[in-house]
Amino acid sequence: MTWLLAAYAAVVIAVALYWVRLGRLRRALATEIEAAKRPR
Amino acid sequence: MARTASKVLDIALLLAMGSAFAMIFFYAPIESEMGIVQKIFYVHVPLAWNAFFGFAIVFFASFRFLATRDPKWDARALSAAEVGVLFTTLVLITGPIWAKPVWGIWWTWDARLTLTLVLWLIYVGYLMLRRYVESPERRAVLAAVVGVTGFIDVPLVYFAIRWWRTQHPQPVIAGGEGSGLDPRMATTLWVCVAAFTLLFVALYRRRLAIEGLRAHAEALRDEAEAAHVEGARS
Repeated sequence: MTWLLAAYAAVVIAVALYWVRLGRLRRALATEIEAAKRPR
Repeated sequence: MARTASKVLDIALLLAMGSAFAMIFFYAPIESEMGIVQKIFYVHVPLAWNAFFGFAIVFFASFRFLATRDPKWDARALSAAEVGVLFTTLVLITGPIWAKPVWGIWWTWDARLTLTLVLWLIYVGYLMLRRYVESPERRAVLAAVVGVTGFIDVPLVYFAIRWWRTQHPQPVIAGGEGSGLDPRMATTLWVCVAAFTLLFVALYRRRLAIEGLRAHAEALRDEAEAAHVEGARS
């Protein structure tokens, strides 16, 4: 059972980290675009 | 429209993943020789097939980019390559976690395992190349050449267990006479394949959307720079 849980945990953690990274990148770019569009 | 599609996809993904893991733990039987550790197979195989699917997208999109020089194909190839590398990394992690209790070793240099490692190195190289070449046009062309030529390893990985004697288990799907799965195991595997395909699509769409935003941000940056230069002149 330990081996099985270790394998599944590796998959869940890696996918979750990548998902969060994509979310952060998207938010950073959206903020940059909003700032660039704002009249100076 | 795109947001609604994303939400529908996310809900479908959640439902599919929930069903897949419920079937793994409560429906699929425990394999008689390997025991419960065999259930790693239900994530290992779908991850591998979807990695192949991702690299097929890289191949097609790179080919289209070389033919048309349209940056949208380059963005598609990059997005598929990144998710493909993530999935291949997980194949290379879950495989040895299964191998240690079953074979007694983490790794062996047989054809299937070695070619999978080579596949991972090819596409990690593809992503590294994109980081180190500064000119966007040159970067896209070089990456597309790697994206097209690197795909040669995918059929080699797939057929390795059919062409050569390997320590890796022989195919259980389309493996010919004597191969096959218990019907409950087969149903669980196909549900897992569907769930991981949805995961691939969800990650790919998110990654591709970032490339769209990046292009938009770069265009705005260039515009601002041009306006600044114009302002300094006048």
